[in-house]
Amino acid sequence: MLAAALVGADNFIMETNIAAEKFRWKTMISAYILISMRPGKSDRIIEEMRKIENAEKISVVAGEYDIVVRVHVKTLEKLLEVTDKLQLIDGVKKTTTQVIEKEISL
Amino acid sequence: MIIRRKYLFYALAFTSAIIAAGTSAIDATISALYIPNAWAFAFSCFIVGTIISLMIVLVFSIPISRKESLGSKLIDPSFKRVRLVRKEELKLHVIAGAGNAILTLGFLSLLSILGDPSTVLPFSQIAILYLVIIESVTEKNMPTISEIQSSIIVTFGAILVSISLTGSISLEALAIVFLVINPAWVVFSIYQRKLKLLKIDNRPNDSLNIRLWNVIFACIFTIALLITSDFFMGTNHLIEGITASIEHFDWVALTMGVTFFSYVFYIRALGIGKASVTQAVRSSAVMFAIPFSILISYFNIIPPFSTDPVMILIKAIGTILVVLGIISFALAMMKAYVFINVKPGYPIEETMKNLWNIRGVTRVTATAGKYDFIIKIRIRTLVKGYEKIIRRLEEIEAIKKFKWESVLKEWEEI
Repeated sequence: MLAAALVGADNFIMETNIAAEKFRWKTMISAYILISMRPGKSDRIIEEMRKIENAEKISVVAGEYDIVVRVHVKTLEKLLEVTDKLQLIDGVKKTTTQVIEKEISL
Repeated sequence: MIIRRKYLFYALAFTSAIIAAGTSAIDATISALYIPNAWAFAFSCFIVGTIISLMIVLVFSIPISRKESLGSKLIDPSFKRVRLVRKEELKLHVIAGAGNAILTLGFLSLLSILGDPSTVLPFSQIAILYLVIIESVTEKNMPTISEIQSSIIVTFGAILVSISLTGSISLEALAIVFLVINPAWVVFSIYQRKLKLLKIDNRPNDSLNIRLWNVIFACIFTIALLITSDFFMGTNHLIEGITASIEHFDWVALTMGVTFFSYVFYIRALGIGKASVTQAVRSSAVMFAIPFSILISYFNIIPPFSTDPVMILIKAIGTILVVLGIISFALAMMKAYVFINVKPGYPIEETMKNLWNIRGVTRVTATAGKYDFIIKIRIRTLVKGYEKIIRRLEEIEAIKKFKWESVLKEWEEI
């Protein structure tokens, strides 16, 4: 009886953990951060950006912006933290954040 | 750790190619010394492979922290633990499993006819040509002249390398190559890629579970094929397969264990690059197979390597063509972001669908902020970007303005 209760409790904890994990993945926030920078410091800036934990992809682009960073964070607060870290890098002139609402990809 | 996506892709594809070359030498040894019946060998590969793959995946499921398991740390970050097939994966697994079963039967039959793995392996590279054609039809990507050129170079290179060490070409072998191995390989490769691109629980599908379930489904198909053959042709493949699996478990377990890692790296590479490009890089197995062939011919497992200068020259030209084809495949691929603003009064869903229907668009993202959409594009040339994408964007009424930003270099988290 006690053993059955313990197994039941264990199963409940496991299922709760799985549900929490699923919820965590469903509630993740992705965003593109478009960055303009001052000329002459690109290598060092990219090096700094590659150290940021939540940066999923860093693309150097040619056009109005210089770098596009794709980030994946748990909360909006964390997104603010990442944007803050990017803005604190010496050489970053301006950031524009685009929060992803919906996506289709191959 | 963030490394350049391109380096990760090549590292995975080349590692997979080297392992594939090694396993083909083990297969040749098993076929020559222990299990000459290709059907029995295919059966034992999948039955032993299922046991070995399950054991490997179970080991990689061991958690090492709250978030990570051994597999997610060492092999594929998307992996968590062994799991059952999801409903959305089932159809893809059935088709990929059938592809793998037919491909393996064809490959092992060819190996039992020709013997030398450096002769057999190049033939399967012709699949590149099929892949380019199929990608142009099914995916949103038309082949460019450079893709077609590269495919033809690799194909002819593979044919030259594949001339056997004794200088002969078998017609039966050619029929197996064109009608069995390559079509099955194309089906297998495309559906493995589709599986890798699926999202399971909002995260990318993992290569370890994909491989495990592919072996299981291929095993089911192989058993069905063997029973059908035994019933209608009066053969005894199933019993021979069971006997071979028990008697030579160690050898088959070795080849299937190593093959497991070759395919896991291959599936991961498929998730990054286009199927044809991944296949092109993996075709370098042709070169890596030559030293393995020399090794097993040294031990008299296959006929000795020809010392005829003409034969050596033909093999060298073939190898050079395969390498050239691979390099031209790998180069000249460009990506871009397009930032889009739309006019009010047009439904977002419809605009998203219109953007997604443009060939070369690999990702459409609706965003909140300065722009309404950000799309990612993958094309061979800028000219194609203008002809296929900009013209099409201009045709979409909902679009007010857009900005094109070409990607010069890219890093991705692994």
